Amino acid sequence: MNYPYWELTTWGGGFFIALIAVVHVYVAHFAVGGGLFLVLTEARGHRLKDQGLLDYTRRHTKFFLLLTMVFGGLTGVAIWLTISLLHPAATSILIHTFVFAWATEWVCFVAEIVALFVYYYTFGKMEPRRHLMIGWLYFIFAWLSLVIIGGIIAFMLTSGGWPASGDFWDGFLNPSFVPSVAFRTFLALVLAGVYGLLTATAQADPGLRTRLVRWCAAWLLAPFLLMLATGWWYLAALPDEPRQMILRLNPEMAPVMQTLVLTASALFLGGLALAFRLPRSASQGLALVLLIIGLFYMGSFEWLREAGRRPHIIAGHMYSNSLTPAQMERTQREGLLKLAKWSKIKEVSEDNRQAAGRELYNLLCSPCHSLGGPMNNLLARTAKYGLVGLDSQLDGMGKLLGYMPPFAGNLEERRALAAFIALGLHGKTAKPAAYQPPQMPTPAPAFDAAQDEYLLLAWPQRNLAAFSDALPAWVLLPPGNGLRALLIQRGEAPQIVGEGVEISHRLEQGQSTLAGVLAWQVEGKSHGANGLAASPYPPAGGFNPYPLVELKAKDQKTGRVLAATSAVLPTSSEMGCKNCHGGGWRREGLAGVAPATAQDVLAVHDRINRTKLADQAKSGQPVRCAQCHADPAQAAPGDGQRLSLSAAMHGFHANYLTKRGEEACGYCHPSDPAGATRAYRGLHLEMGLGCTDCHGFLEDHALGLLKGQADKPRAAALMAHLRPRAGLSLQEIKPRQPWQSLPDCLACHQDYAAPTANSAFNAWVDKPGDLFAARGDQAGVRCAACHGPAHALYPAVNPYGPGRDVIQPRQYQGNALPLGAAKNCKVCHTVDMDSEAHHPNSLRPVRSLPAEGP
Amino acid sequence: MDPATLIPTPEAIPLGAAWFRWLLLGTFLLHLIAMNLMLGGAVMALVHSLRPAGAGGGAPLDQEISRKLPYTIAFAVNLGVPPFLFLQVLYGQFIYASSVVMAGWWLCLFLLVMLAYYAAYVYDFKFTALGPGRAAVIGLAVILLLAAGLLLTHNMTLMLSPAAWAGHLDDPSGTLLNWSEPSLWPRFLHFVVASLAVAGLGLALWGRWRLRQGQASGQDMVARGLVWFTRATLTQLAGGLWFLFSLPGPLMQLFIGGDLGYTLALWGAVAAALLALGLAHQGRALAAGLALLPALFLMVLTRDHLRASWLQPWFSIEGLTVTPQYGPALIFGASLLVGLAMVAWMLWAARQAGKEN
Repeated sequence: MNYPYWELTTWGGGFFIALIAVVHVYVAHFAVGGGLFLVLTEARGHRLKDQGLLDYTRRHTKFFLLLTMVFGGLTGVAIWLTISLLHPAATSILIHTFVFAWATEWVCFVAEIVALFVYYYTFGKMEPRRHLMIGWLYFIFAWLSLVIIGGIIAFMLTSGGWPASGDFWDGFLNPSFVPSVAFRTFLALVLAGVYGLLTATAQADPGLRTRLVRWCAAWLLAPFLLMLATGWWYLAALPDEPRQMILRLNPEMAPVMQTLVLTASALFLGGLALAFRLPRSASQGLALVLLIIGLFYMGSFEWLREAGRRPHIIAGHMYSNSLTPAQMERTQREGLLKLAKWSKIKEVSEDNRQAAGRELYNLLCSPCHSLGGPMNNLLARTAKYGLVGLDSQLDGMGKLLGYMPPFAGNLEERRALAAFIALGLHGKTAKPAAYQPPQMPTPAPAFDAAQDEYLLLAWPQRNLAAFSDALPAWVLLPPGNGLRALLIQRGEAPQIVGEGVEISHRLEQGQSTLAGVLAWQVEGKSHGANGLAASPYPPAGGFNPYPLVELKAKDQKTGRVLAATSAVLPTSSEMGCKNCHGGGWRREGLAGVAPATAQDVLAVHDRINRTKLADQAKSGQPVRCAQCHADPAQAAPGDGQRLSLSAAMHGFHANYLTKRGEEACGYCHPSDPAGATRAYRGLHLEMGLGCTDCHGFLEDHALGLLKGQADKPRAAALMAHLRPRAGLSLQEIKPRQPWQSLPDCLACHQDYAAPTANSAFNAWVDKPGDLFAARGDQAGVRCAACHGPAHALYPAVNPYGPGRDVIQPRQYQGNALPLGAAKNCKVCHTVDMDSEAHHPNSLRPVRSLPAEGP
Repeated sequence: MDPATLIPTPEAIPLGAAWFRWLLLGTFLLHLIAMNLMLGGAVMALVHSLRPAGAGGGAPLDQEISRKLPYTIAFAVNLGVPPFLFLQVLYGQFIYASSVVMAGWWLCLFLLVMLAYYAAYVYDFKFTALGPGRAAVIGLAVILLLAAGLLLTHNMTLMLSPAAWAGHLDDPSGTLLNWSEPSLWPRFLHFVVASLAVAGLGLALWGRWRLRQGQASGQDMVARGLVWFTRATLTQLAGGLWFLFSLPGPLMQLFIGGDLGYTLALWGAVAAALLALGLAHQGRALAAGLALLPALFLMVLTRDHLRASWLQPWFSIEGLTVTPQYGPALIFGASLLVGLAMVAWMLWAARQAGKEN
């Protein structure tokens, strides 16, 4: 935030650093190892009195001089120029902290130049012992250069005690200094062999060529094992954080590590092959190939080293976006644009949102990302995200995947950056227009209050019922809802009819029919069936998440129809995975998980957790999430090691969806008020309550679930960045179990009275029987029988036809209110009642809604 | 917009600013000499190669220059490292910012020098084989080096003008240059012409050394070198004045009596240069060279004065925070002594090459 940025778009993301640095270090290591190669080859020539070898050494020196002094020297300066252009803040720290190390290195550089000039121009003219001494001096100064620069580069990876002390020696003599210098030294010797092979194989004299190629192959092979050993030492000497970043945490490093291993193997095998006598053209070709492989080896090593310090550019001190943690804390609080010296826009507004996002992109993203270029192409990485997904990604940065720093601006700036990328760069729309569901007819089953002897009440077990339409890739939740029904024989003392009747259900779905008989459940005092897999896709097309099920109660003996009614059986595949995983809706542009979305979910899971789920799905075996992640809703025990499905899903995604309200729920669940399902409806919605009033903010919701799984290894990592929001401390948030620890209605409705609070979060039911879906009065009448299902409490308004959620209240009492509300006890009791037998306060007037309802 | 708001916050320095200032000036002087020999030598070789033999042209001298040119580039680059390092220590917040605003050009600097370097080696190793084509090769090297010099002039002036950076806010593509700076061209030409003068004197001193070695070819080198020096220095008198008068008025005033130290340094340099000119006129190359050294040093000092006065509204190196740490500085000092001793021994050994027995 101190320096200007260079807007590079395509060539951003450190392209110039990568390009120049890799070729420079490849030549610079040769400049060290090659120095020893020259002097020892010359010494061997003198010892063996081999003029051919001496002549070769002289020719190789010329190649060495032109390559290392001109190209190596200038690209070294170029790295300096480049880092000061792309990371001026970090460069400034390196310069000011290590100015005398750089100056000392310059002394070595001077001595190297003089030595190399003298060595080359006096070759064959100077007395051999003295000439060799010049060669040795060259090597010593070149190696000292490596030591000094190696110390500074190692400092960037492992800054040791420097961030605290600011002391030169704490920074220079850092934990990876010695092993890195040892590794680079042996690497330099190996490369001396690789470069030597290039010139050796070009020799015309077959005898000399054979001698030289074997000599160079020995240079490649002899230090090889020591290079590997010191490489291992280097890795082992790293603190846990960078080591894990290289080996495990950064999934993008896996192919780089593979390249390192493959190229190392290829170098060794190539060296071995050249040790045998090969035709000149073959050996020359192989030498050239080895030189190129060596470049890739060098590049992958440097890439891994740089990856190890992520998300920092100077470990423990400065993030890759040039902000220190202290600066970032301030920019997150006050806004980066306001504090950055080189931002033209100082505050985000509606008018400048995308322009501000562009500035933020340049300040925060461009140090590591390009736009359509070869380095960390941001366009490719963000193509799948819409506005919500991108904002969520920015929210989650630096939390679970620690290779990126946290987002460094305030909330408005985060949204501006998301808008710039999603809308400005990708041309996506901010938010699609709200879906207008078709209005469907509402059945009106008959009921004669004077004559009819029975009431048949029915309700779905789950009303926010989503299933994952993501086959053949995976199954998060299979389709299937439960249906419950209660047959009441009317009278002054009404009876729940359990035995002796048959309650059938029937749902027409085009060619197929979902039909059957509900079983009497003695303990639940209702008839019921589970796993009714209704489809939200009508045969004629479209989308209907509220298909109607018809119910009939018959006398088992006589077959006489005692009562009949209808109810919606909610089923929705509107799961918003696409918001972050790309793709789109699978069906009708409204719901379902598109194949691309489903594949991305598996790919992300594989990338982060090192699983092979995508391969499993490709082989024809759909991934069943609950196989590993326990889910009580599916009676799946999981594998016992991993988090429950609910804890894993909420815990992981909450890190990307912080500081949001109930809209966060609708990103995944079918509760988006502009979506195709709008599953959350009913009295509570009309009263202005949202998801979070009962379930808590997503962070709190997730923390409760994760605390309930605290024994699982992943829980702590998912909790690490989640901060409680509802005014409770982490300790105060109660651990909870999914589908079991749900809000207790009586937390707000104490003694069934008007609510005394407007939040039921953290007030979970004590036992399963207290769940709204299970609770009943002393007579055995279930709450849902009279009030409707939890997320569609009467009087609910169904988006596909206002009356479809209140068929039974309308049928039995001509309004949309809970059964018996407004002192309508007659609906069952046939006479007015003056005792509140079902629950206290059941005789009070309806508080806030017109009796006629929708 | 207040340009001060764009100036980055400087880092603390590990030793008093004066130390770095003198390190900057001393190493810049060495760089300047090497750079002058490089650029001036290349221009002389180009001019010679364009002339017909006998009219000032002559392959033997050019070949001599061709053999030395790569050295001068190597040392110009190498000796450019420490002043650039110490410049960043003292003025990092200015040079980094100005470099970024002209980033696209600035990054080309190394390419220009590298290509010139290779051209110089082609000119050296293929001198005979190139024949008449050598003018094109050395011409390319000259153009590349001049372009590099122009970029340096742009950046060295841009770093002094935070007000000129503001254009980067509108166009952050790193393509800003400082064309509107009135002192840009006179400053650039001042350095180019100085290069011809210093390289001319260098040629004369080289010829003198040759003569003392008993090589007759040295006579021509002395003569030609002093002609180059004389003409370039005379040109410089006019060019220098142009440079002086191109400066912003208040700054110029400092060098014509407004500040005694500044005035003495500048006019002391001019006086030393005039003395060198007179000595050159008498054919006394060594004496002219000895007179030119203080002129160069005082010019370097004047350049520093100019920078300090230009930045004075915003910054003074005396204001930098110092968090002293002496150990690394002592190690640098010791390494410098050892390194120079080694260099001296190696140069001695090179001189002795072939004479050991």
